[in-house]
Amino acid sequence: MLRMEPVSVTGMGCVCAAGTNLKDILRALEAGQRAPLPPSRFKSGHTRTYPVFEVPEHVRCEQKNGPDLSMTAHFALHAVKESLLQAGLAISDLDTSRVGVCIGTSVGASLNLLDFYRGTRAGQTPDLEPVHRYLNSNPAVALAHALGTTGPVQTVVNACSSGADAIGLAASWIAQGTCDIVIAGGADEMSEVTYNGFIRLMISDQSPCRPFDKSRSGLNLGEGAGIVILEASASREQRNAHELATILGYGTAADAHHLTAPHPQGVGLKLAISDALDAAGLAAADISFINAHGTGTANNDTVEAAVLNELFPQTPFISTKGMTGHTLGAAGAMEAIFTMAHLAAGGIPASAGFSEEDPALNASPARLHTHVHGKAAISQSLAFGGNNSVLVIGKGRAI
Amino acid sequence: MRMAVEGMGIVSAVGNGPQDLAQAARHILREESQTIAFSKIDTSDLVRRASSRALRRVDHFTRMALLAAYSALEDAGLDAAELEHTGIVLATGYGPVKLTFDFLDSIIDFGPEMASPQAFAHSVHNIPAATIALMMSLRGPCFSICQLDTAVAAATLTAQTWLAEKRVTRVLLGAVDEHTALLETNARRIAENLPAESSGGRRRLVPGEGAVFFCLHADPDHARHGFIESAPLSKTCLDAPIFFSGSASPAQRNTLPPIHDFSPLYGNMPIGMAFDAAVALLAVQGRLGPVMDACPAVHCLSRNRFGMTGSILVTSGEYA
Repeated sequence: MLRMEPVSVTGMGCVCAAGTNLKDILRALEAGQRAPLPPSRFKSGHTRTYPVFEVPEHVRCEQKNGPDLSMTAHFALHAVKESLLQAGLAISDLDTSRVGVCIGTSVGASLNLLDFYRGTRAGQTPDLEPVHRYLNSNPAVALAHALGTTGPVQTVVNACSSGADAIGLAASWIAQGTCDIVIAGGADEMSEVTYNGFIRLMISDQSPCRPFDKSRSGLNLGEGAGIVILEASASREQRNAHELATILGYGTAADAHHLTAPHPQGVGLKLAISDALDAAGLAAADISFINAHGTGTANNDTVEAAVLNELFPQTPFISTKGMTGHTLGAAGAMEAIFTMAHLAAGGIPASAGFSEEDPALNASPARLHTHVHGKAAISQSLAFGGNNSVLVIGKGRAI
Repeated sequence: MRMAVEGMGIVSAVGNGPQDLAQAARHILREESQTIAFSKIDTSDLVRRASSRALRRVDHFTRMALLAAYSALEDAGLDAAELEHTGIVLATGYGPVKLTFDFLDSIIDFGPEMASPQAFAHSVHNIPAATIALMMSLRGPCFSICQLDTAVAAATLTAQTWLAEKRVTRVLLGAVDEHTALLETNARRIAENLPAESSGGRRRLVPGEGAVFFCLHADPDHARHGFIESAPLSKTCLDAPIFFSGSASPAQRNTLPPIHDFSPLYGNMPIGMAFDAAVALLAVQGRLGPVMDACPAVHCLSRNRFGMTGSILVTSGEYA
């Protein structure tokens, strides 16, 4: 693995249940107040209630007033607008083959058209509108079409590591000179299909989720999008754009162990961490804090805690899913953005939902706001299929 | 960066292997071929590569991908022990659709509280690539890419990116999609609603199914079949033949230089470009003779419904 030149982040945008822009979300993460609720857009169909973290309604209403795209694509567009504004870029700046789009998703690329399918099965000829919307809404393609970019376009579907993988790959496009600017991140919407799927896998919590807590009993689903503008140094310097953070390294590795459970010793996660640190030219001791995947499921948190204890025994860590829910294909991107913001601010908030250490884990996320020192941090994502992806994030450098 | 093609595996309606693909391509070049009728692809050969136990819960989509991946390795003369530092990139247009619909069926038939957790888990779009990683014990990067018509070009760029940064020394680059009755019905309904001038060509085709895998290496000495790279349609290759797939209408296609359309051999598929690339590798090796002379380079293009065009270049060892 070659050493990677740091890649500049010049814009960030985010939307989730905790807020409709990054500033509000960071404030909410600090406040730690959360209120997941039963899903509002479909009937649960379960006798028990499983709360979810939904994006505020006024953002969801943007779908009615905009192009006929999926909610996932609208969330992505919402976050793109914030990130472009922060980067000082206009849409007219993007009409070039040197601008790429790389977006991770899970729900956003699935043919989860339950009502259409139900109608077909009943012998009806349902309107093709949802099919056309699906065909128009592949997240990366829809963004590229909306923005007029003509560079590389890629929708990564690596389940829950998709967003991190999209940013990692996009950083390589910049580092290798394939693009000057890449719009990268992840997006996913709440879906009746995934809601039922996670409940049937028996990994959904009926209470607000408690990552790494002794009493944890599963995840809460969430929705949203996280988008970053990655930019080559020459482009950034020419525009005199502020560097908010840097991507210093990226590693990704498969467990090759089980399709739906992580390797018990975290073999793939350790490989991904090793590759990411190598690419960044850093050691574990250089990492000031870690944004863990921290879903609140028994398996995930056990494996992550074991790896953190082994490789980063003194490094503070958090899970932000207690505030956002598990946003699937968006999670890795949103959490990378939180990592950038917390690194710049020099502190991480308390890990929402955590109150009692699990003696079996012997690892506790931050209980209180914690000051962090150093120039680098890690955001890590684990996924179905045994995917493990790690981003090493650096602070922005002065111009 | 040119990637050396060490091996290729073909799983298609015209047969499982390069010889069958070459034969079908010659028919099309002679304009003798009729559009294929859909037939479910035979993956029974997989039992020679994996145990029945290992395959018992593996769906048809993943079986096609697995068979093509194993075939590519065998063609390259490799076994699993030689695959350290190997990554997987799998391109698809729709993902494992049958399993997606199986889960919807289980919700409709049995209610949300009794829906099938296995159908849900296996319908997650990266599970087919993860299955390949698991069965071949590959712990390198494992990517799945899902988009219509440009997924293969995107996957090719990913493989090239990984090899260039020495993240891996070898990549299994594949593409797969499967046929379902509902996809066929929807494709027909959509085509019927299109204006006449843009409803011809590929859109008359039945959605097909199949898988293609290439075993790629950064070292040119590994090029048993030629080279493949992510490359825009450049001036340096204007005389190269173009193999075209994707959503463009015949009128749009005619705006390009003379092209070859092999879609009748694989059907209406969002990953048709992978089959075009396989045919292109046969072409640069002179394996489509006597109908088509060996050519040093072939461009493969695939255009999506928005007019975005994915482009890869396939070249022989002699092409510079």
